[in-house]
Amino acid sequence: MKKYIVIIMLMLCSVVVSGCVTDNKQNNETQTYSQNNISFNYPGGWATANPTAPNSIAAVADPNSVQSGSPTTVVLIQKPNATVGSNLSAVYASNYATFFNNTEYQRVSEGNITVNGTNALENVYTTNSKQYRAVWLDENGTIYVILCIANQSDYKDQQANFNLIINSFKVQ
Amino acid sequence: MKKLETQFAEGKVSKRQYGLEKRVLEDKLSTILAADRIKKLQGKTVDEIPHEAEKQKEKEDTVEKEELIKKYVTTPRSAPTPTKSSGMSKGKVSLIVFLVAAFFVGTGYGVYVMSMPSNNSSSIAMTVNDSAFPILNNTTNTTTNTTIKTNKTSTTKTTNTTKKNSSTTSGSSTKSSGNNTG
Repeated sequence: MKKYIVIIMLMLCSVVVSGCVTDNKQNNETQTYSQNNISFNYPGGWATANPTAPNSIAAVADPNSVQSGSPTTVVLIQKPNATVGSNLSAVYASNYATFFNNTEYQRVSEGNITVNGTNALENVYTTNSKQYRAVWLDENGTIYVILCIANQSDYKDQQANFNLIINSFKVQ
Repeated sequence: MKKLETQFAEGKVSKRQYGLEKRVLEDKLSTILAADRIKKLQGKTVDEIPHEAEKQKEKEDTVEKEELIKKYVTTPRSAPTPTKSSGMSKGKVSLIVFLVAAFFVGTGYGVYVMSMPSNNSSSIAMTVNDSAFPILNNTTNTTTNTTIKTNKTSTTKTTNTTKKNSSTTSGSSTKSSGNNTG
């Protein structure tokens, strides 16, 4: 009888321990995007998306954030319509001179940051439901914009994922 | 005593019986020895050799005992080993077997599902409509007011047309067709 009790206890223990196991692939593992002369790492649970906006070169999104057909947690890589060698600050200023004419967008903050040892410009703005973080980089004379988007309620929690992409962004 | 030992060695006497008889004989022997010592202390001579009558009696006793043992005590050559009953009914055992099997099948399926590549997420076609740049909205409302005045019939026809999706804005234009007053 004791033997059976021991077996049942072992089974219970293994069930309890297995309940504490998490799917590490979803949490820790990353995937690498490498197309259109750029590369970056993105979270393991995310997937590539199809950007429709002009000048878009890549987009990755969290499939779990899909609401009414389109994802709410997205990172979009774009190249502005500027000639190679254009001044980053000038292109940035020119863009936002007209961007906020659209009253849907409300400026939150902007400033200079450093990404992989190079200077970059950051602009944070919101709409009614979403929050945006646009990071403007000049890589080898070409300007890239990494636009990180999330629902306002989820924006803070997604910063680690956004930073993973921004900090691993490279031009090949 | 010697006889008992040989009988035990030959397997004629069981261990239990051998032990019992040995103890009885040892008791007897110790009693005799004690009696001898007492006699010695009293200064009496002790017979080293037991009397013939006693010997005879002893023999008779042993024979009698043997006969009794042969008559009533039967030692089975191969005692059937009692089957150990675990105290578990068939139902309980089958329930435990079922539980163990279910446990392993369940955990195996769980591991299989966990190790499967999560294709579901990547297979979803996601479309991103946002942009970091101001989207040029080419939708403009163009209002063209056309006023046609015909003096012949003295009627005035005014047409207001609103066009969408036009990139150029044309202002109001007035078209007069002749000033023929007839």
